[in-house]
Amino acid sequence: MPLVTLGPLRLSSYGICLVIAVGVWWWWSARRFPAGSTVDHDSLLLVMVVGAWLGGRVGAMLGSVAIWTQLVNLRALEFSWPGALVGASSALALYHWRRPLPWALLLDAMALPTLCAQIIGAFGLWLAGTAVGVPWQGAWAVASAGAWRHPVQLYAAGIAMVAAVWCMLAARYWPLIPARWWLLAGIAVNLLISAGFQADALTLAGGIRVSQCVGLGLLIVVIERVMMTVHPRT
Amino acid sequence: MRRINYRLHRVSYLMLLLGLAWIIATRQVATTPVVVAPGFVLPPLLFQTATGATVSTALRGQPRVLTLWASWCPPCRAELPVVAALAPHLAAQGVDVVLVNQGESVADTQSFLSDQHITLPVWYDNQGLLATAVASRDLPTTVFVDASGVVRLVYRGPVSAQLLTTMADTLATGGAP
Repeated sequence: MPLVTLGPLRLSSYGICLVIAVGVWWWWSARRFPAGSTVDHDSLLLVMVVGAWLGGRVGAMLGSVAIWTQLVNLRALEFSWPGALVGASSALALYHWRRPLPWALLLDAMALPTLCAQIIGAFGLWLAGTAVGVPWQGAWAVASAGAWRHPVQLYAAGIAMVAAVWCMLAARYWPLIPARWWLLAGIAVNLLISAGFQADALTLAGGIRVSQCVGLGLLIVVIERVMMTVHPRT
Repeated sequence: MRRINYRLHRVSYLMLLLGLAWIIATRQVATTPVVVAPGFVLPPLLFQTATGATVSTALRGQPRVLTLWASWCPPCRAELPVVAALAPHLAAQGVDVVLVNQGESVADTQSFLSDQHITLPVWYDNQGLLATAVASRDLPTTVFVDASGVVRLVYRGPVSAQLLTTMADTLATGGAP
């Protein structure tokens, strides 16, 4: 149900949280960009937001050919966080190809704001009552779509929160390890854990979820990078 | 060609093992058709229509296919065009097709169906009554009910055109599945 209706524009709690998430991400990322950088922050962030939106929509559509016609429907709720991250990364890569950027430093600057945006967005999705977890009768199950289900968006928000706190602590105690690797670790763990409770996910043979496989692969890459930083091989 | 000789760290092997175990433990269980024992009569369930009218499953006299779905469920979205395309064929055999939406608002449902150009009748089930009655936790679920109100088949997962046609023939002739 929309919370705010302005003419043809209907904003649900999820839509509002998504707008807040993008606002926080934009403001905080711009503040954390390296001082003295010649990068045009606003145009870079705009390109990434467009990339994230397109990626999020395409990611959400991958589950069904029937809804491809809704790809550009701004009012539709479906939005995939993994898709958004891939879209934003692709946009950054495209921007970097056109105008070389200190992309590693930029990713470090955007790590915490990105995790924070994910917390707000996932929480908004839960508020909107569109939890699409697998049916479950446990203590913290939420009623959604006529059944008691795992609050999968709350799990996603919780894991992103733990990753954000870890990112802040790591900056103090393990300054050698760049924040971008903690961001990727947070994304990987989220894909691996919370996607395990998601209903109707895209699957491979035997019901194996694609997102979990991507998460595990990403996690191994991150662990290897961190281990090589901590214990470099000669 | 240079041979890559790279060994993962022990912690990566451990994580790989744990991760694979987790992925397998939480895999999506494949949906299978469930045949309900003949003689099970669908109880009289009350649903709302888009206009606010109340309809009941207690109505007898015509076989019916009830498709339980939600617009957020990708397999349901994949299934709906198949059901919509076959609905006229089923109607010609005297079999009604009704979409039973589980837990969504009339506005959201109508907006989605309008975008998909689907004009089948929709009943709104906000309490999961149909899912409870046929003991299904899956979406979509298709319930085939004969003219005397007996549930002939409960199918969990996206139904195929072939199954719909076969079941319509069965329901129309009053035979067993």
